Amino acid sequence: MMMKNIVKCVPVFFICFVLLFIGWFSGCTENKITYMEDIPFTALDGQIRHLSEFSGKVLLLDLMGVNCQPCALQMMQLIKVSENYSSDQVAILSIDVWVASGENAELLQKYITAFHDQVGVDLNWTFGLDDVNGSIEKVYASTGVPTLYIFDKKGNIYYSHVGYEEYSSIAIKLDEILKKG
Amino acid sequence: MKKQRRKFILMVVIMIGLLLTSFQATAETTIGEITILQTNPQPGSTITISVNVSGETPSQVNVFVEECSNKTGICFSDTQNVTMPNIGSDTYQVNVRLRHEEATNFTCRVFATTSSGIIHSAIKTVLMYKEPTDGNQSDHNGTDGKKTPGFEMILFSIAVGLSLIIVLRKRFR
Repeated sequence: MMMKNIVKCVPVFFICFVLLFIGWFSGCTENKITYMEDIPFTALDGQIRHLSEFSGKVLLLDLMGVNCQPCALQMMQLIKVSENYSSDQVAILSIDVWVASGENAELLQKYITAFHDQVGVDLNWTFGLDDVNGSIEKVYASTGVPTLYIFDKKGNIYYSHVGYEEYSSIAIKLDEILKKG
Repeated sequence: MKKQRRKFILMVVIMIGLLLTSFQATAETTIGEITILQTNPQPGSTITISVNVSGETPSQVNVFVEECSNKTGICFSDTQNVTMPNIGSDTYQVNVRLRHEEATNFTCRVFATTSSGIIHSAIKTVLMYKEPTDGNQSDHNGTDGKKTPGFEMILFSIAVGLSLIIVLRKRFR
């Protein structure tokens, strides 16, 4: 009799355990993108460009804001990347995603000029701006800035990091992906 | 001759008056320095942002509040865009609740919408100093940073409870 009751309870236990595991993993999963979403951005000259233009190269995507202090520190690390890797190997693209907060091409240009005039370094890679709806920010920098992505030559996301990242850590990932070819 | 002089003076006075009026009408909107009324704002607290806008009365004044953490080197993306109501004369003021406990500073920027476009203020950055609690390093759940099940445990308890009820009901039938 007792055994029969226990057997009858097995489906209830099963359902409860399924619920338990759904609950367990629902908090752990994130809607992570694994492939480059080809969202357009506005270059400093006003032209609409696409991330897909960089396919065939390893792309280091830097999502930033002009008035974000950690982003300025991140720039110093990206300068090291531009100095140590040829643009044929690694393309760097910095996109200002704080357009909805009032940042614009003029501010971004002043920022680049300030690095040249005050720090004595040229940010000689491609810069662009998100749209006013924050389309790029929503997909790539929903937590905050700076956020870095490394895409392989086919557009797969190889590495991503939210927050400031040292050059040494970026270089390890770039070397890894360049070795893979 | 006297009449003519009076007329001349009157005309000059009227012209100066008109000139001053036109200056007043097209006076450039200037946004004064942003003031945070709290002396030592804390992460997660409510701050009061106040600013003086002179010149042409703007149709709308907004403040953008961005929170950053120098510990993790990040500025959080959920920037707050809050409308500042006019509280009298040229003063605009609003309360804003800071969202991130881990933030170490925040920046404010005021935008005023006028007939000649949107004018923005200089950026105000405020550092936050969080008072250390008395040797208690645990987080709000008192878990010492260890992740413990919450929602899962509730489901598990319900499962155990349901099973017990079923077993007991069958047994005592």
